[in-house]
Amino acid sequence: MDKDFFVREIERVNQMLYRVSFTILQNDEDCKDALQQTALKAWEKRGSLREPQYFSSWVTRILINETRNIQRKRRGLVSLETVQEPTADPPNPELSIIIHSMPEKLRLPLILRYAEGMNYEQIAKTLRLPLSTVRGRIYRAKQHLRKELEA
Amino acid sequence: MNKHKQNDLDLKQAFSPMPDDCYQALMHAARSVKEEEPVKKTSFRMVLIAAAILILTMVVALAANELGIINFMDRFRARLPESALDLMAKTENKVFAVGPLEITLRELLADGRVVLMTAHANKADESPAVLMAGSGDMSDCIPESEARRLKLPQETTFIEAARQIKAPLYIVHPYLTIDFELLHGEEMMAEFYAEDGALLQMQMLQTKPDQINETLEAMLTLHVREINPETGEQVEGRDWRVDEKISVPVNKTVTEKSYTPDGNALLDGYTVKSLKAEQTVAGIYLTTQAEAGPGVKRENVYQTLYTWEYRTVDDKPFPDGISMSGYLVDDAWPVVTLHQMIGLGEFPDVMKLSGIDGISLITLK
Repeated sequence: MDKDFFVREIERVNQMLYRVSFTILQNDEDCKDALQQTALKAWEKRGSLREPQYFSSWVTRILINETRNIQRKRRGLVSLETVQEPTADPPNPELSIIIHSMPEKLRLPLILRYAEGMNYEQIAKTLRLPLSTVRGRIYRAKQHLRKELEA
Repeated sequence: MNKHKQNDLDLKQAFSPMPDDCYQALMHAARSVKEEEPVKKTSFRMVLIAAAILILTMVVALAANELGIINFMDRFRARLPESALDLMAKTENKVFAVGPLEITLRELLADGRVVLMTAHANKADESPAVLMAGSGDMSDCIPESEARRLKLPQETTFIEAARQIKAPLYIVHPYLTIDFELLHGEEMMAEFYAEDGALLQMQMLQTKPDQINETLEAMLTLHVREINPETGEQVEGRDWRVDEKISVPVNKTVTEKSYTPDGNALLDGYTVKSLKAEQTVAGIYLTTQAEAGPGVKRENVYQTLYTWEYRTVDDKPFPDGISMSGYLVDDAWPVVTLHQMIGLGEFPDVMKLSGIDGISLITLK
């Protein structure tokens, strides 16, 4: 992978990376750190990407690891004030509130499926979860979403 | 909302566009990378340290027949009580021939709330091979112990490792399936490698305690696929599967203890009402009930309560239990119920609960 390809691919997936990081961290400052670290780490690990067409799921996995590192570091240091609202209103604020109030373990696979268009198998690989777990989580997330939207 | 409409739902609508400073940070980092390989300078002192670490690692390295659930505990910072380890050790180690591999059902434990299973896979003959867990991906890097065993750089992927040693790659997936109605949420799988390349995999299922009897009927599936390292494709006809019905004995004994807050029960804007602790062979399940005060926002409930942690009287966190998926029920808002597990074999007399800033504490007796 050369640098031009790398920069082009990061540019192509930048919004997706932001959504995934916000799904986990729910805080723009932390997202900024995670995104920055992800770009650097992805370049370091570029040798592990065998097939360029899998760039987006590969870099998503690196991003998720980075968000976990940030969560670990901030564990016990978070105060209610640092859990921020997004800087701009999302197109569908009601949907945003429902999604972001779900537990992360339901929210993340749901976003990967219905915002990022990954199939169940890709999600399972990205999250390193068994396929059956991914199915179960998305099923429960959809039930929750349905209930909240109907309420 | 019908199913069709939900499938059409675009969840991108739930997100604001990426803020400019996030975009700039990402793209600046991407553009700042350098094409050339970094030159690693290694001092003699570093070589000595590396050698010492390698020797230490080799000393503590485990032979395949010593592998068990205990190997996962440190990694997860979790603990199983001694009684659970004793029970698991009594599991009949049934060996199955699955294609060119031998897979041994190593350990089983069920307490009505979780089912734990470990299975151990190794090549039946001495020929070289690379084993990969079914939950993994061929483009993942091999673990450190495999890199050492195969004398390959640590960043080598599974498929590349198999290619380099000119050996087949086997994807090994042992798992239990139980009636879907008995499942309660989570499933987890993890793997651990022995120094000889044998692979131990763990599966944990959460079950509904009120629907589990003295014995749990399960299907043990052992699935092995051979991958051609040159093409990354499965070799035709080299796919083996064994399905075996098994009965898992369930140790359902539960003892209960209630704790009540001692004095001030206010934590992060919530009043802690009660704590119920239930001891099973696998550890202690904690159910905390709390009520949100008037200023507390419901949308922050997960961020807040997932930081709550039970601690010893000396203010040290209890080890996590093997069921690592704590969960929260907020259907009866402002009353919320938090479920967690700690890895203890007996009830502590007193517990402390720390809040979001790690400083506020309440004591429960």
